[in-house]
Amino acid sequence: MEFSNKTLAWFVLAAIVVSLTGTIISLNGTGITGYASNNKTGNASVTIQSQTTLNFAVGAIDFGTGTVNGTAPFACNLSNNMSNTIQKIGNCDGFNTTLTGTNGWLQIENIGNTKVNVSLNFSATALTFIGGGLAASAPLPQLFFMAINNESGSCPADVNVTSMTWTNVTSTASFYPICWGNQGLLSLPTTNSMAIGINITIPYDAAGTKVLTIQASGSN
Amino acid sequence: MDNNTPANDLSGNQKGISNSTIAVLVILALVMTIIGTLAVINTNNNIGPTSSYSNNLGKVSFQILSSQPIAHGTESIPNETK
Repeated sequence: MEFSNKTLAWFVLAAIVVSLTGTIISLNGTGITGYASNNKTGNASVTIQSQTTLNFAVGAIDFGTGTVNGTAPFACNLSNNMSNTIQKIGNCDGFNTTLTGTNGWLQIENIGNTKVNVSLNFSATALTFIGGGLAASAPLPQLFFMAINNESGSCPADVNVTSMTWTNVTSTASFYPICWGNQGLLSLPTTNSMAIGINITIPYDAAGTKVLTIQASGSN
Repeated sequence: MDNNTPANDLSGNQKGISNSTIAVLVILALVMTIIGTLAVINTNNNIGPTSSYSNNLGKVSFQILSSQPIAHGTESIPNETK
C-alpha cells in the first residue's frame, strides 16, 4: 500500500500539530487534567544528587617581604598562628606581622551537600619553593603544614593525620590527607571547614619572590 | 501515484506535493519535537554535577630581599697615633 505525497503531507502536518500541542502543554505545566477518580492521592518526587564542592574561604597567606639577617648558619622561621599573627623565630628582618583573613590560616570548606575526604597537594617542596641551603654551612629550607578543625567537629577525627602536628612536605606528587575516613569533612552549615597552617624555614642564602600553590582535592 | 511525481506534470496540472516539500515538513516536525524535548528537560529541576571544585587552590607567598650579613671576627680598630 502506498500513500500519495498529499496524504503523507497531511500525516506530517498532524505530527507537527501533535508535537506543538505537547510542547505548549509542557511549558504551561498544566497537563491534561483527565477524569477525576475517587483516588485523589498524588505523589511529588524530586531527586537531589550528592554534590561535593571544596572552596577556600581564605585562600592566601602572604608572609610579606623581608631578609634573613645574618650569615651561616642563620635562618628565619615563619609560621602563622590562630591569633592572626606571624610567628618569627631566628634571624628575621621585616616580613609581615599580621595576616589577613578570619584567623590567619587558610580555610578549606565543604560547601556541597555530602561528606568528603580531603587531601592537599603542594606545587613545590621546600627546596623548590624556598630555595637556598646550597652553601655548606647553610641550613636546609623547610616547609611544613598543619590542618585542624576550623569549626569544631567538622572533621570528626576519623583520620585527621596532621592534627596539631607539623607535617613535612617532601613530594609534589603526594596528596596529603587532612580529613579522611568514614565521615570525612562534613557539609553541615556551621560544621564544614578546616584550617591549614604553614611553617617555613628560610636559610640565609635564599632569595627572590616565592609562591606556593596548594590544591585541595576531595573524594567520597 | 508515483511518490516521486513532481509538483506539475508536462501539461502544467498540479499532480501533488513534491518530495522536497515533504522533506521540509519533516524537518519542521523534527525541529518542533526537539524544541519540545528541550523545553521539558529545562523545566525539570535537575541538580548539577555530583562533584565540583569551585575554588580549591590556595596560595602561600613571600619575598626575600638580599641578606644583610652581620660582621664577624675582630673589629677593626682605627690606627692611633703612635
